[in-house]
Amino acid sequence: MNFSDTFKKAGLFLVYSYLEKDPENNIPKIIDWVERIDDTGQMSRQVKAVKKALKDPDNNWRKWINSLYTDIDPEVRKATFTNLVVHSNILSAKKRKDLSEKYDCNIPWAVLIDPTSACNLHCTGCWASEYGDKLNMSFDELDDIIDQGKALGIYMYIYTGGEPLVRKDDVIALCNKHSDCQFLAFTNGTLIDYAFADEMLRVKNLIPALSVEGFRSETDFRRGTGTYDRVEKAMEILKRKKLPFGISCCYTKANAELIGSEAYFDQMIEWGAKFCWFFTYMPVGIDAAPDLIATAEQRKYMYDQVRKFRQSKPLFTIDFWNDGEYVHGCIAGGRNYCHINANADLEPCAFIHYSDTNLREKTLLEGFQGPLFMAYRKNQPFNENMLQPCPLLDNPGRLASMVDDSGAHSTEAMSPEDVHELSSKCVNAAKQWATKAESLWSFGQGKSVGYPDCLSPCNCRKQESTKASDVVDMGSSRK
Amino acid sequence: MALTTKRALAASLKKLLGKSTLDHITIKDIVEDCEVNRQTFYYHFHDIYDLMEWIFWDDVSYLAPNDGETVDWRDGLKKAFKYVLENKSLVMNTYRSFTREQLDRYIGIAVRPFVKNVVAELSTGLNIAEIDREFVIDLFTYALSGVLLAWVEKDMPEDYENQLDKFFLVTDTSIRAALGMFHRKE
Repeated sequence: MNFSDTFKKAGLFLVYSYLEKDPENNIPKIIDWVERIDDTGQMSRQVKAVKKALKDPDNNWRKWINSLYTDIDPEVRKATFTNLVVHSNILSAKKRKDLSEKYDCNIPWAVLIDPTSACNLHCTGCWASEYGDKLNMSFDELDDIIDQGKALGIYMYIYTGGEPLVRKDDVIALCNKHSDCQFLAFTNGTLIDYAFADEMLRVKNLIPALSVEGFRSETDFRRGTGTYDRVEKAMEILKRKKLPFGISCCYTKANAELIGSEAYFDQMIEWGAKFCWFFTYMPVGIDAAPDLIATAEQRKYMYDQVRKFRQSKPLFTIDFWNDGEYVHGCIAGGRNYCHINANADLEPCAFIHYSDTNLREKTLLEGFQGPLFMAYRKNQPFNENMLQPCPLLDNPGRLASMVDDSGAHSTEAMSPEDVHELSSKCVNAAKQWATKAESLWSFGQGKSVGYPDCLSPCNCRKQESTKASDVVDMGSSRK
Repeated sequence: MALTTKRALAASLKKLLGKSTLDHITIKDIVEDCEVNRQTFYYHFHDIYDLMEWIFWDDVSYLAPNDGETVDWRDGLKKAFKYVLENKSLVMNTYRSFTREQLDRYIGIAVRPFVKNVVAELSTGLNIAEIDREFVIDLFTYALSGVLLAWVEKDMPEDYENQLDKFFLVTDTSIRAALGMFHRKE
């Protein structure tokens, strides 16, 4: 940290304590200040767009921010602010950008890591189980990856799995050691008890995202009888301990209408969730059923519902496949994030189980510079229409050619999956979505609805959208 | 169980500090001595300084009087000096590992409870504003920290009791006098 960073940090904390004293009145004032000290311009873009909304006390985002003061433990709030806002964004965005230029490769904002492939539940259709349940990374390996990441300016680590809390003690020890990083955990929630909540309060930098896919019958059907009650109990504990948490939802052909319903949004807010991450079902794994892929109609429904509720509900939502318009398409391959499985294979995305780098043999940086990640870097965005971001689900030919060109292999230990076969499962869905996406994109829906324009420094909105027929280009690799 | 593990890690660090200074000791050295893995260390402590600080508070809570507890501060302080002498190499290596500023701060925190209790005892029947009482406590805390640090700096001569007796001789009357000056008749 140089002198100017130290100065900035001190200034930020001065502002932070000012905010703590009277959030209601000081929020609008602080926003002006954050804008002034940001040197990459990245934060300012985000800040400017929300500024107006936050000056209105009845606005749902204003309510959401106020709820962070009433519902969250002050120490945890401060640690989250320090790690998520100061360390992971303001102080390190420039470092990542500089290193990305220096090494000519992507340096992500977040790294997803599976500490283990083991899970205490056995849910229908879970891609995580395709790795098998015997893989684990040791504390020292996980610790070393985080050390490598921090040297590259990465302060955001997201535990996935498997069920990461099967490795509770290691998870807490890593949070405790790397107290300058922000950690999230995708968890089924069933292992969160009062003792664990107390440990979370102690380390202050772990936020869980609990997997819930609807109400009791849907959840229990997919995850096993009694799971719904256990997850509700976990949320009750987190709420009582004033710990922030979110929900992660996978929408499929079977449940999209329910997940996108107002009743379900209200239920998530009632549970006390501060954010929800939506994922669309991906037919990853040899046995995965392509007929569970959400239809184009359903995806459009989610697109509309999520945008509608962003204007009225105090819940921060990201719908990864439909929000490409805010982040310039695909964020994987280290552009904003990457995934490391429990076998230490570095993968471009949690859903893309191909790799050319194992971190037991190579460094994180070598992986970012490896052929597969470089192919992502070269090819992103995969479509000029940012509503078709995915190289698998929306542009299936694109993933296949990148995997072919880079020589990456399937990382699914149980039964390796050929990328062409996987891609062929997505062709129909991609074709159907292309038509919908084209009209949405050219119509400019979503623009200034709920969230601001694309946050990347690009002019993608001004470019012509690609014709639907151009995007599903199986087999013809772009050599 | 957490406390047992923390004490075990603390014992290992103390043992290592008997032989070398903090900047030559690694987490690996500590966990090897303690026969636990790195994860166990990091579960409880962020880093070696975090453990040092914990040891400090653990020792302070063992040596210093609790709030309002009536302990003869002569006995208490002699016990504290004796503890420091018994752990000489640990203390000397710690002493060399920290800046003067850090030492002042920590020693101040450690000896303040002694002074605070004496001042409380000697202010009975006097009408003194809180802010003035705090001033007197601070003043004599600086004096006591100075005596302690000067003694450590001189490599802890064995005749510390002599030094302490002189300190008590001066302070017993002067604390009383200082408090008297802040007494407000009403």
